[in-house]
Amino acid sequence: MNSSIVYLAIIAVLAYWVWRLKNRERDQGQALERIARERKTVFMFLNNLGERLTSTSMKMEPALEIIMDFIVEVTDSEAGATYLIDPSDNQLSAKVVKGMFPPLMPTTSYALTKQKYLSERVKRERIPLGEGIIGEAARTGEAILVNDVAGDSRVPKVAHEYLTFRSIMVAPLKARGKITGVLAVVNKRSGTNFSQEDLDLLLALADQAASTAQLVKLYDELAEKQRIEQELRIAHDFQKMLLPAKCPDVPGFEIAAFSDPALEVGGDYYDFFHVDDAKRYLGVVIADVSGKGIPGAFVMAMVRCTLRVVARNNLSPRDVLFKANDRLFADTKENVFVTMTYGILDSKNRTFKFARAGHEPLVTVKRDTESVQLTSPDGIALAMVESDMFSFLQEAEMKMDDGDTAVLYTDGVVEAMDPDNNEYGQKRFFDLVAANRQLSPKEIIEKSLHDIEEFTRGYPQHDDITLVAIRASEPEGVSQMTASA
Amino acid sequence: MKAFSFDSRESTGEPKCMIFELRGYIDAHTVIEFEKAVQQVIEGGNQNIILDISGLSYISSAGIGAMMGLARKLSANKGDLVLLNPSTKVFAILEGLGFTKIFKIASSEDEAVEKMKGSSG
Repeated sequence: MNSSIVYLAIIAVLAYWVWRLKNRERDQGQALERIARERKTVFMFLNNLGERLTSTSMKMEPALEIIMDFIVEVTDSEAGATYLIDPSDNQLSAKVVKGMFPPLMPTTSYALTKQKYLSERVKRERIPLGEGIIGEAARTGEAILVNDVAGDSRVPKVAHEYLTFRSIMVAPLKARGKITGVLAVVNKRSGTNFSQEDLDLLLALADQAASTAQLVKLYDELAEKQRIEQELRIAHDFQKMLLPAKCPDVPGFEIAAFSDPALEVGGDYYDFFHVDDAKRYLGVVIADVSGKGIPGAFVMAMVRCTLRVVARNNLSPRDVLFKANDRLFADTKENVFVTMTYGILDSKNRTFKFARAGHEPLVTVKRDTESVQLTSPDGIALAMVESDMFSFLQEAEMKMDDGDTAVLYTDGVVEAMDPDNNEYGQKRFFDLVAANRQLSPKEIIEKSLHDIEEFTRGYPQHDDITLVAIRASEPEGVSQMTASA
Repeated sequence: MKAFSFDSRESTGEPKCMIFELRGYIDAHTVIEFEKAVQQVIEGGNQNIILDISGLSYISSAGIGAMMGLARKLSANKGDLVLLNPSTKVFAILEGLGFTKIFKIASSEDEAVEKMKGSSG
């Protein structure tokens, strides 16, 4: 229903347009040939472009190459160039150069008689908005035709015998009313001047070129956006798969954990495993992998596996992280790093010994004190530096008395944002942990998540939120007492 | 406000450095823009880069990873990276990661250019 209305509308507009053109052609006998030529050229151009764009990929520069080839041909010019404005600094640079296009800035290099070097040189030039003929067209949005080059200060006088401007035409590229660049063609091949008719043709083609370039740009951005989103979705599922199905049972301790990947997967994970066959020592991991998307998820899988291997029967968290760093440094790309706290819970001696590779501090709270204690032994994130630099890593050991709680978290917790860009912050989190120290780890995590949710008011988070809490169980009587208190 | 934007210019002192003034925040999305921009400068032959990060309100691990990658790439090309004026918050993030020991950090442009010299000399 809707689409048929659209089709009817398009047909009506086209019919009107053809009728108008026909009328114009009939009435304006002299202009007939010119309009016909212009129209034919634009149609040829679109046809040509359509054919070649589907056979190549929809990329900006190949599309501009096709456009420029065509423009140089139909305007009978010796050379042409497409300049685009770089929005970051408002300067123009040539993305595509066809033929012997003279540089706009003075040069004496003889190598410039070779087209390849010449094009490279022209592409390197950066032209401020408003400067020279190119800059002016980009600033004002008006087309410019100059046949008297000697008398026009906007056109450079190139002191190079093969490379002089005899005549030049420039037309702005406009997309949705915004100027995005400039098309320029120089020196008519026949040796004559460019005419007003040539300029009209260039303007018509510039209009098509601009909308094509805009389309290609949108397509490019969309494709990239879709690709990123799909990657993030896959990584999200993969990340969930790597988490333990349930928390381990350790006599004398209660353990709970939670991880929620954000829209943008930051690569958080936690893990538990037995270090020794006797199951006295439990390895506890919390980590944040910096890589994003699928590569990040693979790194996470690699980190998890590496750690499980090197941690086996090793009772020094420092040593385990040291060995893990050695392997990960060799195997990861330079922009990937991992922050991690790795600890060993000794269920017999009731201690938690840990080392911190650039991760958030360990939060502990005693049953009878009202404030948390933060412990952050020195350490640097994994996979970033070689072992000599990594070696200042330290380890610390906490005694876990009855009712003591240790909480590990990732930066997504304290950096959770509300709609006004306020951070949840360490203080609010630590206060909450302290106030709820008599609750079970599962309840502490639930309270934290609830409080974060209340704070962020549903605002989508850009980092994962991960929490691990461990509590040394109290003898039955004590916990009943506190529960009734 | 735009999530992330930057300006770039050349330093006045010697050695010649490219200074990027970064604004907004760098996360897994905006990091792509950042990486593209510096890649262009490196390909253009400039291997000394100063990142003025005073205008950065936040940097995620993806952003720090990109800076670390950049630092390694530059030093492989006999260049260097100096961070200029991190906010207290961004500095705290870097410190927590142990990265204040790796990155060169300066509090003025002159100091940044000076630190650059230290490595290339």
